[in-house]
Amino acid sequence: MAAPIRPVLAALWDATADYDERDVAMRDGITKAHGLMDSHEYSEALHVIFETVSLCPCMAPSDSAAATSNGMARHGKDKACHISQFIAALQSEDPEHPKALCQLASQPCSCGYSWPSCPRILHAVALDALAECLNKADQHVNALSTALGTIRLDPACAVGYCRAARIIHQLLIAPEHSPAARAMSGLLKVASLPSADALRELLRSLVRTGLYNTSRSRTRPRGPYYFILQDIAHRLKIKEARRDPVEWFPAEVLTLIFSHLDITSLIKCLSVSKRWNQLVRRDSVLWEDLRLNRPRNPGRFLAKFLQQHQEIRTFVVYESSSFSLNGSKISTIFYGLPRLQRLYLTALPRPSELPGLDFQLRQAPGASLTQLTLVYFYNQRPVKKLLDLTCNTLEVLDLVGTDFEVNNTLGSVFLPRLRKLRVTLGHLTKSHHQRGVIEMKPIVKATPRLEQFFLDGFTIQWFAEDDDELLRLNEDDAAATCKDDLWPSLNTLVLGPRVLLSVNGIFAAYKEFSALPPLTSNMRSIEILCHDPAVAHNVLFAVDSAPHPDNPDGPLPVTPMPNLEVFRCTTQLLTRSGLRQILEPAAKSGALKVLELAAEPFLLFPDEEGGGHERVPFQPKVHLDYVVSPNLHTLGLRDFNCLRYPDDPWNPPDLFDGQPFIDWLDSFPSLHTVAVYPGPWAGVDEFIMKLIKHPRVQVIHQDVLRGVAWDRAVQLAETVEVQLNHTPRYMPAGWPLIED
Amino acid sequence: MAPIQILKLQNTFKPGGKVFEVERAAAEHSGLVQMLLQDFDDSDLEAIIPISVDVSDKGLAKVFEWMTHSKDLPKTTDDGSVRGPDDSAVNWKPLTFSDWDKKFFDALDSEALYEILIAANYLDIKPLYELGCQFVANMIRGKTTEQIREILNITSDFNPEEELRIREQKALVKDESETAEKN
Repeated sequence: MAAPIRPVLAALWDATADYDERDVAMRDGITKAHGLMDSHEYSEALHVIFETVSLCPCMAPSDSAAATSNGMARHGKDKACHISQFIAALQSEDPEHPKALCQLASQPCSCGYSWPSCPRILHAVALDALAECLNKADQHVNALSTALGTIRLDPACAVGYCRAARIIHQLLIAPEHSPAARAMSGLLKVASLPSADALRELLRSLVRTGLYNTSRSRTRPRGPYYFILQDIAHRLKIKEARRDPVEWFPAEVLTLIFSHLDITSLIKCLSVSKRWNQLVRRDSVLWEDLRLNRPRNPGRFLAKFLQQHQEIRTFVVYESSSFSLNGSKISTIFYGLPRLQRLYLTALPRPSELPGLDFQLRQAPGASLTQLTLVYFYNQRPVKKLLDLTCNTLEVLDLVGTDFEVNNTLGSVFLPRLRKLRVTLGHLTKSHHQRGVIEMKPIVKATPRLEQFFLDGFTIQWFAEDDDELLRLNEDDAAATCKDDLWPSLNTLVLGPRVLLSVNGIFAAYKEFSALPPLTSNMRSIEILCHDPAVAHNVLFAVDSAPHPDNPDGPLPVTPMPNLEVFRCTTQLLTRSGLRQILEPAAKSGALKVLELAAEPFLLFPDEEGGGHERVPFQPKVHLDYVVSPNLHTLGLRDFNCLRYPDDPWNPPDLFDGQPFIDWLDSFPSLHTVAVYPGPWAGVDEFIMKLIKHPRVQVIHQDVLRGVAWDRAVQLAETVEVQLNHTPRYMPAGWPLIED
Repeated sequence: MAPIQILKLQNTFKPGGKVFEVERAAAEHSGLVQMLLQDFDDSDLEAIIPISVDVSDKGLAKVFEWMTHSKDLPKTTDDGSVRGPDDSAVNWKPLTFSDWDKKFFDALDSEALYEILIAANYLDIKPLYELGCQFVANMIRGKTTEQIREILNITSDFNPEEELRIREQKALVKDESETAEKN
């Protein structure tokens, strides 16, 4: 009766794709030997094994038996030279990179016997059966010698390590006076080991070396014996068995992990290990965007560093005391990164009396820059230089914290592809009236395709009011209608909190030439965040030519803007009809999503007919009944109090009524965010508490809560999972804040 | 309601793999199982579905635990669309860790985490694979090189000269977290 195939052998057999008759014969021989061993017929089993081993093609068929028996004979019974060589090799192994065993396997035994070398796993398994058989027959030292011989057969094969480790382990745990214990003391003597502990240490070294040698083999798949060896390593608590897996995460897993990391962590990953270094460095996607954030001592390495990261598309540089921006560095960046698209340069804010950063650049960069952000570049020469070199490709230009002289720079460079422009003034050294005046006419003419415009800190004007200029302006009067053709694509306008108008007074602002081209029906977002109501009136309603015949003193009708999604105006005094002209088309079309208005207490919406003097308490549901946009999700209101107008206008009550605002929220089914800045009234706290409890409100921006009330509100907001913010003034969305 | 179908899966990578019984709704998180099921008639469902991946049964058990818990999550099909429990199209949403996920991942040792990632990669379980990678990324984020090595049990194989060279390159990019602290 044929013995059943052992599972390990079966698994091995399944994993081997091509086997021939000889393999089948060897497998059957090994299985037969296993069967004989199970019935304790060891000598018969040995005989079968010797025959099986001789089947291996590495044994010359004529003298295979002679060679095997020859080897056995030469080594005698104790196999002392063979075992002690092995032990010496294991003791000298470098734990990190064990090599000694592999070297030993390629050399003949010290006694001159040349051990066979064979990559066929069945040969190893046959020898393994021999070792098992000898071990079961209590010939432990012989068994160990055979197992070590199996390692010599092919050091990258796990079979021999497993058997040798098992035998040594069996010897170590053998009860006293057993044959195994006697074999161990013999072994200790042969190997001149001082104690069992030394043998235990040797066992660990054997397994560690085995794992190293077998896991690095590229020719052999990790078969079942490898897992047995790993299992042994686990039981011996060998560090390598644990360390291996995570360190050897497949490259695709590591790459996905890296894709979740920011650049700082990636830089750390560079120095974890050689493999990580290679993976991180070669992943071009990871290096597309780089923030060079106050580098420590980069002078010598900048060029080299950039050379290694040619994939960079976004480059952010912060100047610092130890890293000053200068011409050579900027040209290194400019000319050294062929794929650069977005460049952010942040200079140190310099005292205004000192000259700003200045440098020379000679030719256009190799890359086609689409975005340029310059922060704190006061000196206009480098700005002009950079613009001249990149003007044909620029789509986004950010001049944050610039100087008022930018007026001359911007109008003089034609930027045919510019879509997005932000200009904000940096230092404020000039007195109020001398503050940077910015003339819009040349800028508008130089940026025909502009879609988004953000201005802050300047006094805006269409054109300088020099007497000479005024003359030319009048000549241009016929051409004034041409203003309609300017900025036809503009859809986003932001005027920051520090924008002023060159004239004072609202009625002057109406009649003044509008400082900006008329807003078209393309507008999607208008945010006027400054405190001077004249600006809003000028930009939204100003008279461009003759006063409108229907309404000689009032504002011009506004072009309907049905696509308007965002309307924020932090100054009050838009007339009721004016506001309606702006908001109604967008509310009707459902486009309006964000609305923020200001309502001076008791005085919102002076009626045109009443000359602006009729004072009515603000009732948003009534006064703004046309704003019923179903998609509106953010609603803001400033400076309001819906209390009935007090009898004594000089001594208004401190009380606050916000209930009409809360009632108003019901008109907006999609609402989730409110921004309320009513002002310092008594009872505002309770109003905010009501808002927190409102079922639809998820986010609240406010600036009135203080102290105990704030703590109470925060607690309440936590229990109902509402996000409560203390934001006196928040920045327009879509314009990333650069620390200024 | 259709009766709950149970699939049998066995890892044949090593001999003697355990046969796992997994609800079909859970197993269909795996793109591989979805693909294999296309070749099966419903009458074949009794058969054991063989998979072969270098992961222990313990690791696989963890993977099936996640799949079973998340069986009602929308599933990614092989054409890239996302399907809800009743096979309706669902808009793709970025993955986030649920409280259960957090506990699940926190309880893993690095060995199990490794096995889960390998198995998720092999079985093509996109959400688990993605979450696992995010989890490892979170472990790495904000840590020093030494800490990363310690967490993931990695030994540096740089010699001192190489280490110095890398440190020079690294010096170019300042720690953003330091900047954040100052602000």
